[in-house]
Amino acid sequence: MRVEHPKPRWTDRFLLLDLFEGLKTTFYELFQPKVTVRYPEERLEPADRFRGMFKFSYDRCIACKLCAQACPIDIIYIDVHDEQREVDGKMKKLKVLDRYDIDVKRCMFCALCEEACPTKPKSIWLTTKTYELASYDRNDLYFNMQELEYWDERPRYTGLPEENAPTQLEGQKMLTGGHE
Amino acid sequence: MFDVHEMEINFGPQHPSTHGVLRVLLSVDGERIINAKPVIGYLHRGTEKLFEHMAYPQCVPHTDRMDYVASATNNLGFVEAVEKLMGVTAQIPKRAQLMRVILSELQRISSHLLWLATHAIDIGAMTPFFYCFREREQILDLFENYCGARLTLNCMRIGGMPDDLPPGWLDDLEEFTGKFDAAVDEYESLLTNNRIWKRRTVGIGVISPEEAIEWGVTGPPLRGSGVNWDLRKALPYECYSELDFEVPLGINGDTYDRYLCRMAEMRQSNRILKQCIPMINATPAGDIKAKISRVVRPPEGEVYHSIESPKGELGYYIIADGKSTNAYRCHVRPPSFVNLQALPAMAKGHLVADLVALIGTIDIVLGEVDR
Repeated sequence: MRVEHPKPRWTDRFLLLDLFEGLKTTFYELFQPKVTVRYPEERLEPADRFRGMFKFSYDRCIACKLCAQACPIDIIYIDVHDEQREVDGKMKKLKVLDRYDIDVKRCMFCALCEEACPTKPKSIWLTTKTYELASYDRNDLYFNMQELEYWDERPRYTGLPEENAPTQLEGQKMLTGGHE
Repeated sequence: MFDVHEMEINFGPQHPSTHGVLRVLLSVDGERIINAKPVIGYLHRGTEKLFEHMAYPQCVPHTDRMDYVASATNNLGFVEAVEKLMGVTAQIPKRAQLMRVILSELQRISSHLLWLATHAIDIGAMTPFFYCFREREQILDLFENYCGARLTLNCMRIGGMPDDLPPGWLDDLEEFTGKFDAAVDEYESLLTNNRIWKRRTVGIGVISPEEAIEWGVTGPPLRGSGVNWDLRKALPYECYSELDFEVPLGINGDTYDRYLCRMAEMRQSNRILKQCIPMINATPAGDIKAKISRVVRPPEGEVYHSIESPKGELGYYIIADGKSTNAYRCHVRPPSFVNLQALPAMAKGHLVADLVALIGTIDIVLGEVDR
């Protein structure tokens, strides 16, 4: 199939109709509803499968290390020791998790760890619908076991000015000590 | 007085119109280009070497990062190459094949939209940018609903697909395909007849069919010159042989014809998507994975498999030693890298301002050029 070139029209010479053809489109679009969102005041809800921040469950984890094996960039660090514990009146050898750290700043959110997790429901999952992970310190993005489970209690960025926050003028005064 | 004063200047790597970190070393006589030499390697990440050190399933997210505006087709090329090496290509269920076709055609539209937006804004038409990104956003939402990511999808696995389609996804897709042809008309109303657009593109960067073949150019730059070569037709993979679509071909091989080719390709991709919806409804839900072992260990051998990515022929050459779960060697044949070779031939004799149009028209992504 050959592409079709537009046929030359005799009016193209002097009437500039070709330019008005485009202007017609832009004029029509002027009255269409807006598709943009005023972030951060308005936020869109991510999809159900959206791969965002991790969440970990200590109780569900069986310390099998499959997630660490599946990780393409090896950012999941797991330490395990064996322990004799009494379960239902019998002594059993159990694996106990000592360390479960994820270096989230290096993560590429491929969700292969979630896919590899054999427990049901998953012990590590990314469908938390959280994507605002920016931080002033890169070390804040290294999460250990407790932080991975309870990070939602951390103070979150809201996008709105804090109450009692200094205004720009007050901030300048604080910096200069009141001097001009 | 009229002798040539050759001057060497750098175009890029920080120039906004080089689409990344491409540096072109220009020899110019005033405004006219005598020679243009692309200097690459600023985004080299050693992906091919990385592939030698990780298991095959772990390579898939890394393929996303090569052509980062068309990650679904990158995934497709890699997983198909490994499947071919393992000899399980015939076992892939129909539903998984159709899902792959749908995702790669959506990705083709999305990549072409991004190309059109940036190409037009480089040349000076700002309006198409906003309209293109509006439709591209809808495609990214479809990706997000399917696999959870918008850009680096990681949406294919060796032997099938990771997940079945979520409920209502096909309805969203149908709504999108219904509206998309009108959207392409809208972009064309802004550009196709526009005299400024024509002055900037007609007759710029003409490449003859023979030259294009000699340079190894593939994809829309090759078809813009009128060579009928589309891997979806020439060497059909997945279920492209069952689908009805045409390959748009240019006439003059200039920037304008390549533009028309890509616009027609978007319409053809939409046509494929429309055909896929009833076909995928006829397949049983949940049948998305071939029965292969969890540990991917292909037999000893080598394979070259190529697919038609939005930018051209994307090939993977994999050597397996038969013992380990990672490739002995993996070479990627990226379309951008090969198409970029034709830039000096295309740019010779044109003005510096046209170089921006030429870099736009070959549609390069530097992540793929440098790997």
